[in-house]
Amino acid sequence: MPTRAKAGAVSERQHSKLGDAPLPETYHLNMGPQHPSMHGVLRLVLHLDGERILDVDPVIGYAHRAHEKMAEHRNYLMFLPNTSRVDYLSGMIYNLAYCQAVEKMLEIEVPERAEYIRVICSELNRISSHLLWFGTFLLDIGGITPFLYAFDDREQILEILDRVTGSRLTYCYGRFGGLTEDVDTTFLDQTRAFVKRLRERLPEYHALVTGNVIFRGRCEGVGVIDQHVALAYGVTGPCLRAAGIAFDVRRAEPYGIYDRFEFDIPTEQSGDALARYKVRVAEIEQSLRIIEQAVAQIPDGPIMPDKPKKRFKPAAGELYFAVESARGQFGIYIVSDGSEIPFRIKLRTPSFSNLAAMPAVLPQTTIADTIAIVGSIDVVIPEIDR
Amino acid sequence: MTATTRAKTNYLVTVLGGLFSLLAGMLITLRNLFRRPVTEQYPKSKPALSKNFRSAIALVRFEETQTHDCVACMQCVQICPSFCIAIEGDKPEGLKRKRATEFHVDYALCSVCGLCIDVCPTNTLKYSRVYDQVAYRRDAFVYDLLTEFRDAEVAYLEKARQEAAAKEAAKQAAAAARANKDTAPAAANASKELEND
Amino acid sequence: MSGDAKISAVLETLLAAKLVQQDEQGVGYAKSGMHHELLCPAEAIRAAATVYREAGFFLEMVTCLDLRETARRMRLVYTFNRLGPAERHRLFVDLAEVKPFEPSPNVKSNATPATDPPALPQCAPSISSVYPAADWFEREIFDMFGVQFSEHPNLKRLLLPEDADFHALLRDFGRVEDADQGEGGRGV
Ligand code: SF4
Ligand code: SF4
Repeated sequence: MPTRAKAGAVSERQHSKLGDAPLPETYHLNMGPQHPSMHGVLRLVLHLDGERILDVDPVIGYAHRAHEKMAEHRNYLMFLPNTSRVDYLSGMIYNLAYCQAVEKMLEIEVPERAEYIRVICSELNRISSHLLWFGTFLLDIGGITPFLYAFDDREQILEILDRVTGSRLTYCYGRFGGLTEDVDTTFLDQTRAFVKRLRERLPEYHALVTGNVIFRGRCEGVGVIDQHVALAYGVTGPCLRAAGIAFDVRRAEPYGIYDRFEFDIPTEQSGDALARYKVRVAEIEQSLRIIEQAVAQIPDGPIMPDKPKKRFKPAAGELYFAVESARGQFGIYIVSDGSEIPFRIKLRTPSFSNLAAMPAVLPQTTIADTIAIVGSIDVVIPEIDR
Repeated sequence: MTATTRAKTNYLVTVLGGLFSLLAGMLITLRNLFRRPVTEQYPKSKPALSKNFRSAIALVRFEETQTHDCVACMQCVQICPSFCIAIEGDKPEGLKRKRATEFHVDYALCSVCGLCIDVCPTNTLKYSRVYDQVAYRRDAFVYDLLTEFRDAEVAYLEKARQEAAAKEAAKQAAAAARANKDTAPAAANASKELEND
Repeated sequence: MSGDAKISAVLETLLAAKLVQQDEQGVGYAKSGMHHELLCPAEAIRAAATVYREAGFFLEMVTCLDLRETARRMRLVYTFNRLGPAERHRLFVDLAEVKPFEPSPNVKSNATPATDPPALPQCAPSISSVYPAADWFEREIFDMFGVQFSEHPNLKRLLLPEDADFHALLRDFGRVEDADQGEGGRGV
């Protein structure tokens, strides 16, 4: 008998709407900061009614390393290694973005060959980031096998990049005007081989995951970020494209030599976790296309200007430079006061805005869905905390 | 009636479709079971380090001198974003150029950015190839880069001193010769050659 | 070009309503990455944001500059962009003038400056009712610069510890490298 009474109470509570008089038996649950399914040190304070989430307050800052403050006490060159630590999963993209921003400030011409290498490395990095996301996301929602396959493929990328940059994750490959190391034919061959290999693997991923009934059950219709929410919160990247808006900085505001390549911007309409999954997997294919073109077109030549600038004082002024990272629009806002040291560097990181939308997405879902939703938006906490 | 039948068929289709999707996944897993494992058994088999592998910085040993060539110009100390290089240097007796007398790198702080290697005017910095450093204390990561050069450095300094002394002597001799025979072109040429040495 | 027409429509609306004015010191897109460089008085920012919101722009970034040393002001920087071909509008919002800035003599120390930072807190209207995205950006600015936002629903610290008594990105805060990292740690 007591069981029945309790069950009745639960169903009654479930029917009451948020915003009614204070509900009985609601409580707070700390999810994180050290929860195995929270990526990095994210803490979600969930206000729960049973299994149902009424409200959520993301608490961040556990990985705050004061990158922006550090920038105010280093010259432009010395800030270089910081950039790849902001988002360690797409460190290459961030590192090169910072180089490009400073190059734009100083009006440095980058040699053609360096531009092509930058594109190849950035896209490889984007794929490795997406693969890591693919693996860990599925791990979060209970699929262990895809994780192992994805990491195997990702390992190939890390090896290719390690061979030329000397690092596996926190690359410091860019320099103002070019790069530290030139690539050789082995690199290009390895890259070609990788493109071929991943093309063969992707159908396997689809068969393993995309059609899987359990996976679909966990993701379909879960955590919808619609266009309205996306616009209000400044959500960018795959999360935005999954809501049907084909916005990609590489197209909207082409930087580097991205205007020379043919690629599509994959979009989905439903805006749920499954749509975000599909967009990312489709993006891997597009990145492969870009890499293929870049490898085919790469010219010979120098990778650094003749006289690289070592000490310089950019004119006083401001600059906003945006690139498309694996997670969305990454913007660097640099304010110079005419001295060797930046007056201020603000990093506009995509995960910051993407996670900020969670209070609009999570309520009325369940704890189990939270894992799928937070996993599917692909947040990197150090990038949010900076 | 038709509605229930349709519902039943739909249900069946869903169940069978779901079952099929699971089987498809398992088939892939099965196929992968017979592929060669990609796991590296790390401590047993060590993977080769990549060609540009970056690790703590080290000093280059030059062929001709058998020692490093750090002239304690402090450029690397100034550019290091992690402030992890500490160098002391002074002019060894009888020499004109400065030499490093202390060179410490705190690898625990180093961000392997390579800026120090870029700025070094004598190209005497490189990445070492250590990768499996473990310690209980942070101090263990403070490397004294000059240890391996102590002996070579003494020999080099001795040689350099002799060379410098010889040079100096030759110069003085040439100067004396020039003072004696101001007009003799041969002596002037000789001294020039020596200076250019 | 329909795109351009739309932009100028937004800008025209804003200019006609006298919500913003062109920044004479703007240097143009090629140099600053900003298509339109505008100035906006603090009282007008919420109305301006509403115009952007209705025109389908998204809030890209809000940040703050501590210009007390040179211009005796704090300045908020807003950028709005379109989810289409880039069209970035940058708005400077200057806050009230402050007392002359005296850099703390003890800039090496990580402790709170001996004297309070001059004329803080500064205050600006919050636009988080228009753009929920501004919620976190404003909290971050409050956290790092001590600028208050009126009518913000939840103005508490975002990145720094809740019980912190400093604002880390103020110019007189000191250097990261000098921070004492506690027992076993070393300031570098
Ligand atoms: S590699 Fe970078 S961090 Fe390491 S010692 Fe050299 S300059 Fe410093
Ligand atoms: S830059 Fe080179 S020569 Fe100068 S102090 Fe450093 S290691 Fe020595």
